[in-house]
Amino acid sequence: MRRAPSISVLVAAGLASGAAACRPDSALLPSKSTFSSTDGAGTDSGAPGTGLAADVPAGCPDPLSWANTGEPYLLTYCAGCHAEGGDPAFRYGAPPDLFLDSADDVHARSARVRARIADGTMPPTGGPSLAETECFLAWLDQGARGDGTPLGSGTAPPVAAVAWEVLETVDDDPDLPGTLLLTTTLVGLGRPVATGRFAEERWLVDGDDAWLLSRTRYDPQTDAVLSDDAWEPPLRLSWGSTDDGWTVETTRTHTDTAGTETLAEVWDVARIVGVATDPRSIDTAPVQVLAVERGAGLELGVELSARMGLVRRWSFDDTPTGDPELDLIDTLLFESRLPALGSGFPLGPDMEWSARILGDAP
Amino acid sequence: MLRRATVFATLLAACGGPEHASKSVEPAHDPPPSDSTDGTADDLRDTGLLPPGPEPETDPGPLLSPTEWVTRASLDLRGVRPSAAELAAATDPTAAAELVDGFLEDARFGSRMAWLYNDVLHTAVWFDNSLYRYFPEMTPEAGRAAGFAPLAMVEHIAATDQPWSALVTARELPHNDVVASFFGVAGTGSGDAWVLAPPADGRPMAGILSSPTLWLAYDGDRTNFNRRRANEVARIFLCADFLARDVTFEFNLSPEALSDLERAVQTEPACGSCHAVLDPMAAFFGGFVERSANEPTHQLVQYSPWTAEWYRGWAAPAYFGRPGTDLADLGAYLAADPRYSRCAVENFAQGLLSRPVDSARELEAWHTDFAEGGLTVRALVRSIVHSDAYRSADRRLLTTEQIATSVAELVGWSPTEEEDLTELVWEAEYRLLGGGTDDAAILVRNPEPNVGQLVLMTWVARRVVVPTLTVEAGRAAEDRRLFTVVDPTDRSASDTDVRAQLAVLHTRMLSRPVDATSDEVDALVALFDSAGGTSDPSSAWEVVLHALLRHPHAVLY
Repeated sequence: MRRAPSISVLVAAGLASGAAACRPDSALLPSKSTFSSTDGAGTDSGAPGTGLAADVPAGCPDPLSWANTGEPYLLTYCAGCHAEGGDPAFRYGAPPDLFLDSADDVHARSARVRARIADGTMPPTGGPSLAETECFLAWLDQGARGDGTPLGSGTAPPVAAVAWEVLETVDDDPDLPGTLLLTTTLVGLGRPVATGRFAEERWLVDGDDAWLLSRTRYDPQTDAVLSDDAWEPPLRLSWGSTDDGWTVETTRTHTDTAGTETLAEVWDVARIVGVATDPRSIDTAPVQVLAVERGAGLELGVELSARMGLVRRWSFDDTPTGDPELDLIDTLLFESRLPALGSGFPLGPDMEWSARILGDAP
Repeated sequence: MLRRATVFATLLAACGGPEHASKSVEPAHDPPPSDSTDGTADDLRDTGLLPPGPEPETDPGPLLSPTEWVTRASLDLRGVRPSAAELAAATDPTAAAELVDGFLEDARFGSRMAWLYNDVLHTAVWFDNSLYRYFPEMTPEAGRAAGFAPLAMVEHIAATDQPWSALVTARELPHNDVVASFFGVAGTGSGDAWVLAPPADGRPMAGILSSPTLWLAYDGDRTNFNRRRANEVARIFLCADFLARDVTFEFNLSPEALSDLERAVQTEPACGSCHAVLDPMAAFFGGFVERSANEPTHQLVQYSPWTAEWYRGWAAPAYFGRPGTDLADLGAYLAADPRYSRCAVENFAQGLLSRPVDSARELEAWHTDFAEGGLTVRALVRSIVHSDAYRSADRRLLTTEQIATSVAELVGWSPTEEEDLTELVWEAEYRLLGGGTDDAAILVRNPEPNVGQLVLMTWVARRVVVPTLTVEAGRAAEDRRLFTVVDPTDRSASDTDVRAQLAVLHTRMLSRPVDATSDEVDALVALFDSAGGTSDPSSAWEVVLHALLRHPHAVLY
């Protein structure tokens, strides 16, 4: 980490008095007489920085920016007391209406901010190195420009409302050929899955090839099967295929409380490489496989990557036998930050993984 | 040397560390005399305290030759020396660049990055050097596995090109059966192989922020209220160590305030510079119990939602003024913080350059490549190793981990063979002798050549030379690793072959190609002959191998 000349250096060099030693940023930093005074609310009545400041000081990033100078300084030294969302107990007397949550906030008060930093009264006991302060003041003098994002919020943190459960097990079925694995994915609410409905899906996986065998929806509180669908032949949704798309002709056997019916289905499957992924996901460049049934309005989608396995999954079932609420649950669940199916660490036979995922209630 | 802040709680509760306390003796004074300076940055520049104007283009000085660059990159990115063929190819600058890019794709890259990052995390050998070594569950294997667990996450992220943000946002942690046994949790069935899985106790998941190893290594003393952990998060992930702040204040609290420091740190404005952020961030860690060495390990590492809730009542968790709920929120905030990725750049650059990086422009350039490369470690390291700063012709000292892996590869030992050099990686005595860290008391490497390193290489030579000669003699000619020209027991080898063999050894063991007529080989021939030559080839080759392993170029690269 870069280090500016410390105050002990100043003292040792005999170039600063004791006063300067106590407040390295006090009176040693450039003062701007061109700024007007501030009003009572801490908002400058005059113009902020002109944006025409001189050279970037030595040791500072060049060009200075919100991301490399303004935001880090504000987060490190100001946000603790001057964030609007902070606990009032930890504002240490900061004016109740003086918030520095964005470059715009700083821009609107740049004269006051500059004056308090330059005279060493903010932060109250120091903290920034001389170089950090000089870079920040230079950024202020260049107009305190931001990129439109609030402080420290490249992505919004998730708000925990509901705990979702995912459990995937891999069975080493002796009846299957050697390279095939049978995976069962269970999704639902609570831990253990105890409330709400959940779905169990069975997949056949062979490397990067995958086939959906069946999907069963339960009400765990009554142990009732709400619906059960099985495809024969299985619905191929392979993410490792070299084809851009393919068609699957299959028969779905659907069972619910009204009985069992057999439906002939034709699925158009498209495989798209390099789709934009959920920004909250820790994965990149996944493959999206989207399957649409021609007649009934079923849609299944999965987003996977070779390294991370499943990163998103969704389904829409607009048929009379469908369960839109559970589709919504599925969609929400798999659009949450999700652990990997494979994760780059092979998930072997007789292994399982599970995850607790926080997301908004449907 | 830096020492862990074992009295961190007391110091921070008193509004500053020892450094701060000594500074606080000075009261606030008047501004400096106007005749010495009028207080502008220009004046500071005039006095020489600040360099003049914009940062000048830094001159890296002489650069390594392509062959030397390939050697450095090979040792840094793969942990082994380049092969003879690679050295031969590296004389062409274009080929050298291609070789370096190839090293970035090597299977050992992830492991190397993990060990590089241990200089930031300091967990790998911590268990062996802490009180936990006295725990009955603490076998050497358990300590190593527990210490490496968060680094296994770094290895995974680096090897699989995941964004660096995964380190604090991933929903799983590396586990194996050894760690599970030590921590008293269900095993993985994977033996000592790492498997990614979420812990079974339902703790909020935020990558290694949810790691029990990290919070055992960085614990508190039950009066610290997790402030130390908050500071470690700031140090490790943001390069914003609270203890490194230039804080000055008048420490003149009243006796009443001194008797109630916990209240004082929330009310005294002087304390706010650190505690306004530190205390709310500390409240994220309530689920991990602070230390009592008398408790069984599994009670220390299982997340407790009850204590988490209790701490939330003490202080509302917040990240630099942003409210949060649990570690998952903390991880999300960290990943979105502009300091997070820049800190990664600083840390990896320091590891690869063996020095802190003081050029904001270099850091910014590497950060740009890091960001454009999807925040993958590979993109960042590629940018660094191709830079002039990395290719600067200053000499760097091999770490003990690099010595262990490179020597093992040279002599062809497999990990399953009895002879190995694991002490160099895992035992503090050997690590410190080689200028390394013990992750407990010594946290900064000694980058300078030193006597300890010479002693260490003497030990390495004694450990490997005789077994290597035995193994090499027993190998078929085409399978030999070092003796590719002569059999080390051959008494009839010609002078020409001996010279050729010595050239091979010099090239392979020091990564400095020479031909059989060079001065270097002349010197080795003299040594070989003085130790018995072909009339006593075993002794003569033993002396030669000893000399090469103890040569300065065996550790400087």
